[in-house]
Amino acid sequence: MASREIPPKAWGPAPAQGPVAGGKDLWGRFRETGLGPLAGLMILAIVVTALLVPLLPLADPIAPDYDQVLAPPGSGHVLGTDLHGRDQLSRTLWAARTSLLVGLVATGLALAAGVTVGSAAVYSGRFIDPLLMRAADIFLSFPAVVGAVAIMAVLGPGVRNVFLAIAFFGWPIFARIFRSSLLSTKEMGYVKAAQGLGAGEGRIFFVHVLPNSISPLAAYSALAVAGAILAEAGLSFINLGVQRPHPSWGLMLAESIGQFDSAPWLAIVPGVAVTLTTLAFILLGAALTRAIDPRASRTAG
Amino acid sequence: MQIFRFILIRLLSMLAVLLGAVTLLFVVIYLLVPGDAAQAIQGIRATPESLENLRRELGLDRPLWVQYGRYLWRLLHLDLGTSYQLNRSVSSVIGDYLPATAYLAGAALLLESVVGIGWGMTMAGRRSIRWDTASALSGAVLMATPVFFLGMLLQYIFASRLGILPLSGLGGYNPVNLVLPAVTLAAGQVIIVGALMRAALETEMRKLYFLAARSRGLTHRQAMLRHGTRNALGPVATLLAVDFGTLLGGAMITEIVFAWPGLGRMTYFAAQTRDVPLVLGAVIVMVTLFVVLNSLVDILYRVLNPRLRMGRALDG
Repeated sequence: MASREIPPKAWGPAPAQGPVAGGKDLWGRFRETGLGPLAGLMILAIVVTALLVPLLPLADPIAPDYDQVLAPPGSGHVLGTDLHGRDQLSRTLWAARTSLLVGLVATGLALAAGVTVGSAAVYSGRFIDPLLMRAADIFLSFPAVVGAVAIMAVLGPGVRNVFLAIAFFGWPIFARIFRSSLLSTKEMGYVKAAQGLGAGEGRIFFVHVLPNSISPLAAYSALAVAGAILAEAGLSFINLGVQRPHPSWGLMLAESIGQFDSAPWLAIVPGVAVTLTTLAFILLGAALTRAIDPRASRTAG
Repeated sequence: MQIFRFILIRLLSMLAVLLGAVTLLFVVIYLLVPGDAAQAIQGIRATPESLENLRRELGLDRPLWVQYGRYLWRLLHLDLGTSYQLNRSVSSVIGDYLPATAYLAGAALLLESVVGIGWGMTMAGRRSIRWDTASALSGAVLMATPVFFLGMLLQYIFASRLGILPLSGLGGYNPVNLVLPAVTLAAGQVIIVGALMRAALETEMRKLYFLAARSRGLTHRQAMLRHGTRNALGPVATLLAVDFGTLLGGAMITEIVFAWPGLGRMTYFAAQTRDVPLVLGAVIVMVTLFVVLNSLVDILYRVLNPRLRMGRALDG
């Protein structure tokens, strides 16, 4: 019902007719359009760079240098400097760490909570299940950024609160996807067959149900990381996220307001950085959707 | 009769979700806010006695369930409290800002329906990996671009460089001022509308009536325009209506970039000054609009679509 972030349905199931991707295996479908491997390489490059940042010979991302204010890209500073003379390259790369951290931790929290609630809903019987799902509806009734802004207004700004605000409203979609996936897997022929062969409840859950239910979450997780990265940038842009003087792409863009004519690199560098990082995760999500669900072998869009 | 039962159940579940949402907000505010409202109002001017007096005045000395009861009672009477900073009733402040947001959200919705549906119709039935890849890639780029970055780029190109559109502001509801913010707000959603329209059309094309239309001699194009489109619009209309709710609340960043005097930008300023009643009131209004719109669409969809009307009255 709610269209928070990216509804997975809009991306995936354009139920294709005929064997467009039929017969191809998981990997075959993942790389069918070439965008899947591209996304993988982009993410690999971003993650490796973010991990290596402390080891790279970069200028201090925080200490101001008022002899170097607004230096254009090129001369000494590859991507120029900002209003306080800080090196843009260094700030952009350090900000990548914050951005990825928020994306992964917030998604991880939401995923863990969603899987817990989803399994509880399926295995705790007919009274708890509707209650948990209505609770999910309540969290989904907060449009996009609104819920996160309310939480940040209450908790106060800061990276840790950004994790919480994003995860707080992010878990219900994971719970819904996992619940419906569990429900349909439980009815599969091979599960019935295992039951018929006398396998125990625990064995059936861990060997047959869980591994086959988890895959729809993989595709949505990639999209959720993209959503969390955009949310962090947005919250920092409106001063509710990462605080000055720490580097964050959203904050760098906020600081560039009014400078676009004289120093366009101030906005373009962090803007392109957020867009490329988010793009990589969206493409990964689309390719995973395509790989996991053969019926969705044609990415709509 | 089934349809009345459906409407009744749908409305009751809407009320339950609304009650849950305001309760959730109450819990968040009371459990998480450091200090209390009295402290927030008086700030550094507070003395122990004045705080005590104000707490009694606001009922903060009462047990939590009494406070919760009063909170619900006031909400029922559309009383959202008083803003700490502006010293005015929250509902009148919101009333001042809501029209600009509705105007912007309406324009963005119109834009995304026209462009999204047009794009979906153009892409439907074209099956080539190259086309798919190109459209998926361009769609993903639009979705990945943060609204504030897109807004700033558009401002730079169309206002600063070309000087053909105003930089920002409402301009007394001048339609020219609407163009850039509406495009910015609609950009990410266009893709989703387009993708859904395309998928829905392709589903229709596989149905027997479509084949029948073709065998009566209609060209593919005619069959699509006369029959397919009409049937494919149902799910798209549902998505659009839900989007309108999202746009009303989600316009915050766009409004900030374009100095648009709407609800989102007001909430942003209220959040900066930690004016909790104003933020809370605005969030309650956005959530209510969102939930009510969703329910109305569900009901309308069911009433207007006879095939569903006879079917199972309750699913999701």
